Formats: sequence, C-alpha cells, structure tokens
Amino acid sequence: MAVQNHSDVYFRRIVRRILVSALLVFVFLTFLIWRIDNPRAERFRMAVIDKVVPSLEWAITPLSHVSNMIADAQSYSRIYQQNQELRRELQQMKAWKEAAIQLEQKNAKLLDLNNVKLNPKLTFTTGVILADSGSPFRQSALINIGRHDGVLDGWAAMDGLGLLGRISGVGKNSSRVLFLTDRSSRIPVEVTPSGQKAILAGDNTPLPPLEFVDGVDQIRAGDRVFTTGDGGVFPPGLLAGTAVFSGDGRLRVKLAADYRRLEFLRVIRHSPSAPISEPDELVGTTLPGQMIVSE
Amino acid sequence: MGGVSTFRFWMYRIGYVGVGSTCILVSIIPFDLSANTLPYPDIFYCFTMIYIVRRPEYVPVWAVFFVFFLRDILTQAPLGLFTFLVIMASEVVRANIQAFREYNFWLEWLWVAAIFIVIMVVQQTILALTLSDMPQLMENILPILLTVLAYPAIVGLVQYGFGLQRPQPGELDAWGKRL
Repeated sequence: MAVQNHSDVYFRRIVRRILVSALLVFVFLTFLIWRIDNPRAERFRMAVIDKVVPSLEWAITPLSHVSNMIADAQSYSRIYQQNQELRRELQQMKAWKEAAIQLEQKNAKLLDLNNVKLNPKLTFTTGVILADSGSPFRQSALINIGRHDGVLDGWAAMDGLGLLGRISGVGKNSSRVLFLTDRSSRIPVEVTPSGQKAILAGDNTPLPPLEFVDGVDQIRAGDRVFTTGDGGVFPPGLLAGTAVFSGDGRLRVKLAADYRRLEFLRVIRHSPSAPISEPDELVGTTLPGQMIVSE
Repeated sequence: MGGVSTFRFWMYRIGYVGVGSTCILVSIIPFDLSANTLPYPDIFYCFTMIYIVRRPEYVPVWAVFFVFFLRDILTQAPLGLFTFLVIMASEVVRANIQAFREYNFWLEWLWVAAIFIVIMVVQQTILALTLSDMPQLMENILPILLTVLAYPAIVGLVQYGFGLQRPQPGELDAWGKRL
C-alpha cells in the first residue's frame, strides 16, 4: 500500500512537471509569435480586450467615478483661489470670443466672395474612454467605439481643442487610442509660422520632443504646432500644441489636449484623398469611367 | 479529509484569482491619462510571491498563468513574456519550498528581492535580444524598488487580513498529507 502510494506521488509529480514544461513552452512561444507576427498577435489581443473590457464597464465606471470624486474633493480646499482664476480667465475669454466672432464673420464673407469649397470629409465620432493602458510605460486608452462604428486604424483622436493621438488597434466595439506621449508614437508636424517640418516623437513624458527639425533657430517658444498630413495617414491642420524649450535646450511641444481629466474624445473620420499616381490620366482624354475619379 | 479544510483550500485559491483580477481592474481605471505619472509598486506581483512562499498549494500554476496572461493582454505588455518569467520563478520557489520554510522573514525578503531583480534583468535582456520596444532601465528600476519596499507591508496585510500563515510543523493539508 505504502509502495503504491509512493509511486502514485512520483507519477503525479512527473505528470505535473510535463504539464508545467508544456505551459512554459506555450507561453514563450506566444511571446515569440507576438514578436515575429506582431500585427496578428495585436489583433488577437484586441479581440480579447474587445470581449473583456466592455463587459467590465459596470465595475470600472463606479470606481473611476469614486476616484474622480476624491480628486474633486481635494480641489475644494482651494476653491476660492480657483474661483478667482476662473473669473480672470472668463474675462479674457470674453475678449477672445468677441474677436473670434468678428473673424468668423469676416472669414465667411471672404469665403463667400471667393466661392471656396472646404474639405467636407472631416467629420467626427465621439467616444467615451473605457480604460487606461494599465501600465506606466504605455500611454494609451481604450474607447467604446470600434469597427462597428466604422473606426479605422490610423485615424486621429482629439479632445475639444487639440490632438490626443491616433487609433491603433480596432476591435468590434472598442478601439485603442495611442497617445502622442507614448514612446512609439511618431506624428509628422509643422511649426507655424516658420513652416518648419518635424516629427513629434513621444517619449513617455508630458512634453514630447520635436525631432528632425531643420532650422531650430527659426522656431520660437510659443509657436503653434499642427499636423501636416504627410504620409497620407493623418488629416492636416489639427492643432497639436505649442513649442517650448525645455531645460536641456531641446525643442518640445506643450500639448494642447488636456490628458488629465479626459473622459470623451473625438475620432476624426478621415479618408485620405485618392493619390495621383499616373499624371496622364488627369491630362489626357477623360473616359466615362474616369469622370468619377476626377470629381 | 475534512470538508472545512477543503473549503478553505478552494477559498484561498479563488481569493488569489479574485485579488489578481481586482488589481488588473484597478490598474486600468482611466483616472489620470497624462504621461509620467508616479511609479507605483506592483502589488499583485508581491502578493503572488507571498502566497507561493507561504502556501504554494494555494497558487496552482494555471492560476498564475491565467491572471498574469490576462494582465499581459490588458496592459499592452509584450504578450506572454512576463507570464513566462513569473511561472518560472514560482516553480523555482516551489521546488525549494523546504528551504524557504526555514528562512526567517529578512532572509525571505532578501531572496524575493533577488528574484524580482533577476526577473527584471532577464526581461530586459530578452527584450533587447529580440529588438523589442522596451522601457528605459531607470523606468524599470524604480517600480521594482517600490515593489521590494512594499513587500513587508503586503506580507502584513496577507498574514493578518487573509489569515495566511506559514504552515506549522506537523500540519496536515486538505488530503491529510504532511506538509
């Protein structure tokens, strides 16, 4: 009896060892597949997230409300000071509003005179943020609109004012927004008014640096940074932020979007204009089928 | 074969998975989305080590795999790498559990800290070897340091909050076997 018990334990130990080894091999293979065929692995990840996270909304929403309430309670302690600041800001805003209205009217008149047709393709969909990236090394968020709502990889996401990032990973009912501050984010931008082209490269800090700038000396702190739309992925002319020089002399961008209290965001619907690859199609005789393309 | 101790046994296992899922849930709450937030200790990582060092039978391999793999998926981490290393570490501790039982707390802390650091170094090395996108060393060291520092506090929580103690000499498990 004792002998059989002993061999039974021995047998179970061997089976366990084999199973654990198989598990380890499986997990490491998963890592290798993730590394080798990254898009496929990321699609798998997105599919799992798409199943898991929206079904957890009942738990995440109250928790995030509680944490927001705590943050709000902290801000009550300096409510008087805040009130004063807001009054001052409101005063300034009124002046700006007046200026904006005048400019809008002027602009409308000029557009009417010139008969300009603006690009009507920039419409947007609004999404609610479901979840954070959950890691201090990665700056992204999950939103509640996905393939079902027509969202595509690469579209721009903005808050009311500035660019937040781009869509990177789309599930059926959710998609991931990769923020400008993430280490793997690279966006082509232009610094106005000098017109210098640069790449806005995230580095996990709140002020992402501008890289590959031609003439740094032509850029002054406070210059505004817009997307260029180079590469055809991003719509041009979205405000990213203002240029600043950091303590180490590097050119960085103070982002216009406010990441701290982000709840809703806009995903800009953007279908890049059809590329002009063969010039003779434009110049030569137009066939009936090509009319659609040229319109 | 007491029914009570089998119940306790499964409660601890379920408790482990429950704490893991809660930690993941809390970490993905969209509270402050700005970059460069303060580093924080990896509480669940500590929790796993504490559980394994004290009662390895409450932390089956499949539970470690399930929770850490889910965490890898949800937090955009390299798929499976950290899971692989944690399972490896858990198996090393499991194989040397008799030695760990004889350590006093300080020695246990030292060993667990060593495991944390070795895992971090191996992870960085594998990421570098596979030319993956990886966090800078400093960004990695600080959370590990905090995790090591948080270890005693979480030990206190687990021992007095969950009532998870090291087995006493001569204690029997749910199947009446000597531990």
